[in-house]
Amino acid sequence: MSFLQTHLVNLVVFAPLVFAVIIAALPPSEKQQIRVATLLGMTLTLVLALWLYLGFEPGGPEFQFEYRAPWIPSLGISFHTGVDGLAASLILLTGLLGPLAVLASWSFIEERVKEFHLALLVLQMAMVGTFASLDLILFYVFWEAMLIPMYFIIGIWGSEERVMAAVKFFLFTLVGSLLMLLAILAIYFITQPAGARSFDHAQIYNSLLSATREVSACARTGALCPNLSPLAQSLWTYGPWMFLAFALAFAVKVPMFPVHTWLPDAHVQAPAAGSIILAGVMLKMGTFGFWRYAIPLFPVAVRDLRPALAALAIIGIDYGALMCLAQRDVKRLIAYSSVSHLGFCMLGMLAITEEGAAGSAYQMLNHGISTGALFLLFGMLYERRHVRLIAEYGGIAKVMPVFSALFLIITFSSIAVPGTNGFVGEFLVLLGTFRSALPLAFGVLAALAVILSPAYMLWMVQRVFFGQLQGENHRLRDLGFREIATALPLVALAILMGVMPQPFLSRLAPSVKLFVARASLGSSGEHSKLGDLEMKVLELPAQTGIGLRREGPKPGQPAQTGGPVRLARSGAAENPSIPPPNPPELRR
Amino acid sequence: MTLPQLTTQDFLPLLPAIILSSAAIVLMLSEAFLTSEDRTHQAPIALLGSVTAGAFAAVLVLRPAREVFQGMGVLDPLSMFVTAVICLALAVVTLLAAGFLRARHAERGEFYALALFSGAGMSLLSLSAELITLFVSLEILSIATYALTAYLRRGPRPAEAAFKYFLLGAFSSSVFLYGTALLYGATGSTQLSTIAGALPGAIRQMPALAYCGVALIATGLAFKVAAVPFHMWTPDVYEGAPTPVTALMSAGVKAAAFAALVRVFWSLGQGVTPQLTGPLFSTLALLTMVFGNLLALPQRNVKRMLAYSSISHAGYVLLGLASLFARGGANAPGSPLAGALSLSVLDPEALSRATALRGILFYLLAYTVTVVGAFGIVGVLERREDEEKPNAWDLDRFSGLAQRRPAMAVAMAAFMLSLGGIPPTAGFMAKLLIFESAVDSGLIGLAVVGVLSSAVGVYYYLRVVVYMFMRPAPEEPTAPEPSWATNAALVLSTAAVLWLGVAPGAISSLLTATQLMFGMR
Amino acid sequence: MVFSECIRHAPLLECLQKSPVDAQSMAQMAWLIIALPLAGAFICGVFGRMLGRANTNLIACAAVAGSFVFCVLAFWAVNDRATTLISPFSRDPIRYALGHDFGTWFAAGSFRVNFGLAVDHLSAVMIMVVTGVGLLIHVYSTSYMAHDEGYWRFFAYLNLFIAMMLTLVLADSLPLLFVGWEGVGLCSYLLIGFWYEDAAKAWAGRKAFIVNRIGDFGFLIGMFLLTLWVSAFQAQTDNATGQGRALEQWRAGVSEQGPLNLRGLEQVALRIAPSFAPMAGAVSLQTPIQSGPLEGNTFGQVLVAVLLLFMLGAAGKSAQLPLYIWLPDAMVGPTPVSALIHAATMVTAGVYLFCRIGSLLVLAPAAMAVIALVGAATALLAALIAFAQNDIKKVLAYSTVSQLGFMFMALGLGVYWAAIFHLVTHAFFKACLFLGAGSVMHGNADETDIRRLGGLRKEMPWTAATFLIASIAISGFILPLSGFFSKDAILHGVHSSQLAGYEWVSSAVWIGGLLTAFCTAFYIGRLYLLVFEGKRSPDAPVAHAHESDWPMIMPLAALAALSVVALIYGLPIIDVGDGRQTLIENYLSTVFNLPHQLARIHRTVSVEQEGLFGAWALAWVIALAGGGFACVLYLWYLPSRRGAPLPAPIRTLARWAANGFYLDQVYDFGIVRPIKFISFVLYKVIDSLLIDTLLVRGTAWITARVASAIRLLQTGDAQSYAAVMALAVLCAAGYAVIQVLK
Repeated sequence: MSFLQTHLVNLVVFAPLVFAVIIAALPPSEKQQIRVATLLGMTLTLVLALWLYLGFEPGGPEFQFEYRAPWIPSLGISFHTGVDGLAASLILLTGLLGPLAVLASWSFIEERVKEFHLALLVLQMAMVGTFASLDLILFYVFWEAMLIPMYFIIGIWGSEERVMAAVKFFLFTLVGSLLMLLAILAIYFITQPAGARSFDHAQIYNSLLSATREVSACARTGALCPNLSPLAQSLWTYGPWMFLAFALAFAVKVPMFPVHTWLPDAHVQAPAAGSIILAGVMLKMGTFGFWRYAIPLFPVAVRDLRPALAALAIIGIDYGALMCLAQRDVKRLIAYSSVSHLGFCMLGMLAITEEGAAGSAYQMLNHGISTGALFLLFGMLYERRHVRLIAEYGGIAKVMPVFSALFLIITFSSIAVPGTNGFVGEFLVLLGTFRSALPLAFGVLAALAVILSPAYMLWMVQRVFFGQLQGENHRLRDLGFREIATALPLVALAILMGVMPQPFLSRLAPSVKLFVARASLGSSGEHSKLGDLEMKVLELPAQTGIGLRREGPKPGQPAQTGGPVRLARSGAAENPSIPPPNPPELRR
Repeated sequence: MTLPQLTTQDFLPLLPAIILSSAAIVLMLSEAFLTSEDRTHQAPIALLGSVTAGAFAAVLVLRPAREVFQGMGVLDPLSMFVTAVICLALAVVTLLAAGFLRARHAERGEFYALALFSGAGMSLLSLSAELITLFVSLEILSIATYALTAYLRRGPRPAEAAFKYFLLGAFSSSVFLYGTALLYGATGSTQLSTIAGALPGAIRQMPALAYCGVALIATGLAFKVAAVPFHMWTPDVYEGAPTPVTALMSAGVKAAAFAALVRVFWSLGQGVTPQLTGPLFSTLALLTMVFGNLLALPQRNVKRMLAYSSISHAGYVLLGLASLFARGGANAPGSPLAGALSLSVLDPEALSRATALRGILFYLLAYTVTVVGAFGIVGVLERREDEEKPNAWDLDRFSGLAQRRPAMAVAMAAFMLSLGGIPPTAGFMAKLLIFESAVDSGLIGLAVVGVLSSAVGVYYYLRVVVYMFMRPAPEEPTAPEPSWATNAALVLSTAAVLWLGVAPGAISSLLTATQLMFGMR
Repeated sequence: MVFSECIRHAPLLECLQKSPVDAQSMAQMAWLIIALPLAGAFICGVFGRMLGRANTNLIACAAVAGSFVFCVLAFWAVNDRATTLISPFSRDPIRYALGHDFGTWFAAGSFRVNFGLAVDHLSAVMIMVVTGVGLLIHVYSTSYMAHDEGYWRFFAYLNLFIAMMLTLVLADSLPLLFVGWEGVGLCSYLLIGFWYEDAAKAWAGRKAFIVNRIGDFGFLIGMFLLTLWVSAFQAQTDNATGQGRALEQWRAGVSEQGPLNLRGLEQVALRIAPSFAPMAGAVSLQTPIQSGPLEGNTFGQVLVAVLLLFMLGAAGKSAQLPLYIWLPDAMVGPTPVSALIHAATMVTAGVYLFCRIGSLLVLAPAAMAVIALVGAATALLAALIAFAQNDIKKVLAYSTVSQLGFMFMALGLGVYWAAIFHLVTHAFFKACLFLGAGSVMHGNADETDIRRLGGLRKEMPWTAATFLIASIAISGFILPLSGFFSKDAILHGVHSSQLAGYEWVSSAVWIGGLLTAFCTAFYIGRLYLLVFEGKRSPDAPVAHAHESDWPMIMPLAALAALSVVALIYGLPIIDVGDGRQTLIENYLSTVFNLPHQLARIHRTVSVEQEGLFGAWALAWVIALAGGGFACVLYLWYLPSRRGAPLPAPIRTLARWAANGFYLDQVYDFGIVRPIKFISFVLYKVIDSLLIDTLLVRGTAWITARVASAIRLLQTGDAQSYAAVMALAVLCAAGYAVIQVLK
């Protein structure tokens, strides 16, 4: 089998890192070279990501392009990467925004160019890695590593209050994720017998399945269940807490209502590239986390907390929209609109209907594109005027017609006008919410955003683009070729994804089905075979010494990929204490 | 009386200590006989000594555990691994010191000799399984470090620091000695294995005596590891001592002292009821983690901040100890090697203990490489004329470092992130292992506290990064270009930090393997 | 066989019914009808600047003209007796209709939407009107915008609008219809705010968009509820009933085309058993829904809710109470826009929507009653407001609102064909009126205040003549004009049909309609008289107005002609079994038979035949009275006593009417400002103060304080250190002792 087949994901992950090394070698004075090299690296990543996306067969196994090799065998941690439909789509989104971020800061970033582009590339690697990893610790490592470059991007190249914003961003996210680390450890111990433990997501999930069913059965009776299996028992007692720990980590990233205040500051202070990536990709980490980890691992806890979480999501939607009405600062406004949009993602997920989940997944991509584009475009304006206050602008449609046209189109996509991507997402999310077991009122309240979003977006557009030209705005010049080339892909995509969403949706469909099936595991009237819900992944290649990598079998061959990781088998490789007659290190 | 039968096996574990002290003696003699022109040889000799010693220790790590000198000492993975760590610290510190001392025209042999002697003491401390031996090696390393602290006799600070250290050190040693005496009185022996055997009976007859003995011994060692509330000397001493010495103290001394703690309580633990050891270490861990981090929070003086942070890290190791002893008595009485750590695989709790031990050892290693590097950079940045000024190590020293010395800034950032426990650095893996063991032995509450306090920690580590990367460089003249030795040391430790963070597989499997060795055959 | 061969051996009339293109290929070409204007919009929008004015005009008009040609072909095709549409929902094909499914738009779970376009007699009429009037207005605009810089934007928007409107009309499913629905709203936003340098105009555009969005909010929720309703139906009808095969077919259709397909919905309406004769296993409106989110409500209740939500949507789009407030403001846009969008086409979307789902509407008399009453109220209120308006376009705007009210009356009582008839005629004469107004403004330096015009008949003969014809048509007080027939058809239909359970509605609405007719005649008369008759007002902007040139006259003439010719449709010339039908009623019956049958089956709407003539006469008299009153007032009475103030009550009424009965202000103070205020307070209190300051910074602050407090212990004094250690040891020892004693 070809090297590409097995390593494609790893290539997408590490291509940026390779270029980071190259750039580290370049002299800092060679700004243009550095920019070009970074652009090349990002473009290469994009190409590979596209390849990955197109290579993903919706009909095939859940995880494709899998790669697995021992990493820290004694802890049962393996370097395990692979993508499902959602991950592939999000990786593509990340790959797409990468080059645009570089182009967006082409002339904006003038000092410490080298460091900046290093940070961008490392960030790119960490983000793709987060989407691609199938091992909890690997995921966590990428998840945390992501913070560092973004912290620098905000803190070094941001505007006035940058340091405050950077530290706030870092600590907010850190506190959440540290508790998640504990939850990961806890579930690692709870789910698996001593000596056969592994941090592999699939193995942990599969070992939880039957217990989940037990617990939910017991939860439906509402009585205390004395005769639960020990695993089910501990799940019953600690499940909600572990879910909360996960949920907190992800909710901060999303961000959901009470823990969202880092976002406006971060967005306002970050440079354009930072905002693009922050809004475009990083916020999806939260929703992705919910989708991949928090909800499938603890469906019972989710069902208990669902109304509360959905309520928070809806508060996010409407409250975020109201916040936008109160803003005087364009970037802040866009930031709050992200809060509102991601509320939709969360709501769609919590609806636990296929429509809702599909809409939520699609909305993740949409938000990445439209809000990313909004920040990108406003970045161009900011580069010209260096003010963010709405009041400073006005009537610039006169002097910057092209810019205004692009911005307007994106605005419409962001307020979900049919024919743009936003509509499909919101429509499906709302439909799913109405279909779901949640009260109808939830759907209605969420739909209020349909009225509020134009209220604030068009208000901002009005103040910035229409009316009389005043003051320095006379001297604004319209977009140059590079800038148009930067913005056009996103605009085109916004329309394309609105007119023919089906190709994108069909890639998401299998993940959606599985997500819903897993999330509704054990809910009343649900009877899916556990075998169908199991995550089928590669087994760890039998290990002959530390650090030896063996190629995994080709994806799309269920015969080889098939079968959940069986404890006994994978145990032998990762068991910390059952003594092999004499450990390999000794013989060497 | 007949001399005991001593085989070469008995001398194996002593090898590192022997090598170190002989190197030290060579240095001393060279001081006496060589003229002051060619003073370039000390550092290489010291380096050679510590490296060879470390190499021997590393080789011995996987030797099956056994008692030597009739139970005076123990050759087991714990002692050897810790010794190896100590030698690593010594080597790096030597490199740092070379540059540091040359810059101050203070490059004299006794410095290295003292360092090596203290290293020998540490190594002995880590392997001694008998209270008197333990005390003696403790004193060896202490006296050497007292002297080192006062090595640079400029300005009031070093003298004051050394004096405080000496005073309180003496106090704690006496406490330790008193504890030993009490235990001897209770059990009639100073040999850990014997004590372990006799302690249950003793507790039944004269509980107060036994318990006080244990408590006092714990105190004596807690002082060395600077556990709250026995930490108060740390900031002053660490700040006052020459920076390489501080590095040595925070890395080596701690490691050795922790080894001693583990060993002593491993034996005493089985006698004493778990209701004592468990809570004892949990309390210490809790106090140390929280207070260490809180105390470091307001510090603008980086060296002092690192001193406090070393306290908080001691807290995390103590968390490891707490989870090691959370489940009460160790191995079943009458197992072949009471003195050495022994685990029978059949023991269901063995695994969680194994996890805890692995966590502790890995943490010691990770912390050592990180903190040595961090102090190294602090040392590079401080300038001679500062030593009298109060703001010698103020954060401003670091502002704009990213422009002035990018590589160094990156290295320091790596150290800071590692101390904060952010992946992909050694610190993260270490914390992962520690918290893993804590969760495993059910100390969820402590783990949560630890996690949150480490979040507090991240704040002040990040502050250094902020100054380095997000503040403009000041106009004042910068510190002189560090020597190649220093650079080598920094490169080494940075590499180690990243390596342990990205690919800890080898080490952790090594540790797992060592656990397999505990008490087998 | 095609037209050309036919003509050899058959009379013309017969051959006219053979369409030149066969239905199948026409159906597959249907997308071109939309694609052409869309392409035009793209070209004008992107390259318009480079192409220059003439080319842009050409392209824009050509695009619409081409689309018009295809519409004619489609119209022709659906008139062909042979044309049938094979719908996946039912086994028997639908006659006089053609359609094609261009594949999935999006699908998730059990939901799906297809790009399905369909043409039947209803949509055929609509597209003819849209493209026809649209074409005329494009031509008109070439001259009207001749001096405007942003011509390319203008034509891009206009073309886009045509495309969207056609999407709305041709759509085969509600979500696709919604695309057009919002699309036209979007274009109207862009076109109202076309002169964006003037902030007020841009604000008007925004207002229009947001008010429309309030309606769309209802529309969306309506669609969602309808989806649930359909799936509940799917779950609760079993095949045990005689119609098993048919149900299977329908289920297949749903899985293939989605639940919101219009034909599918018609089938559902068909399969619902009348509530007074329930069938076993079949669903009637009284059946409670057993599972799902709607559990507990009956099918009937949900249906009413859905239709009322749609009514909210329609009220937004078609400017009915309570959401009509945006339309008068929308008049700040260029006049051709007002003519095309805010008179002829877009605002009638609501009417079209209800005709489309008429078969569902007739099942819910309650909803019908509400619709009818809203329509009547709007018609009357708007007519009253129109009295006191002095802006020529405002008068026409309010008159549009009131005419739309007429159409909703008709809908509310199930007289769909009359509504559509009025829609068509209204499109003609109201477009003509607006364009006339535009021409007047063009000739008078953009003067819009009718008190500062007057006596234009001599200066602008063409405009005056066409305006007169259109005015007569709308007020309908001379027999042979379309407006008369359409309005009368509505009044007559309203009067003759009764809603089951809401009998009083019909008469109430009828009276409202008559009053409105009177007012209409009055204000339109006033408008015409003040603008064209009498003598020129002293403070007119220009001494002599000039007549506009042919691209503006031609459409005026054409529209005037149409508003005369359209009367043919109103003639009761088709002889059906019982009595005669008007041409249009007969023509549309292919679409509206189904609702009428359903109404009969479910006994929701009962129609009793009565002599046409009495109603005609009455309506005529009333219209005449209105017009006459206006003539008297403005030709003799007022001029005679110029300067003298009117009696107080009339002045008060005038003031209220002039301010639209202060509805705008009510909304502003009741809704808009409170929301803004609340959002501001929330931002300051919750976000900034509570979360950020108290929680986040508070935590940091407390930690810092505690830290520096502890720091005080660190006194650098060795004795105290030793003391602390000793203390600690004592504590430890004490603890140990306690442990022992336990």
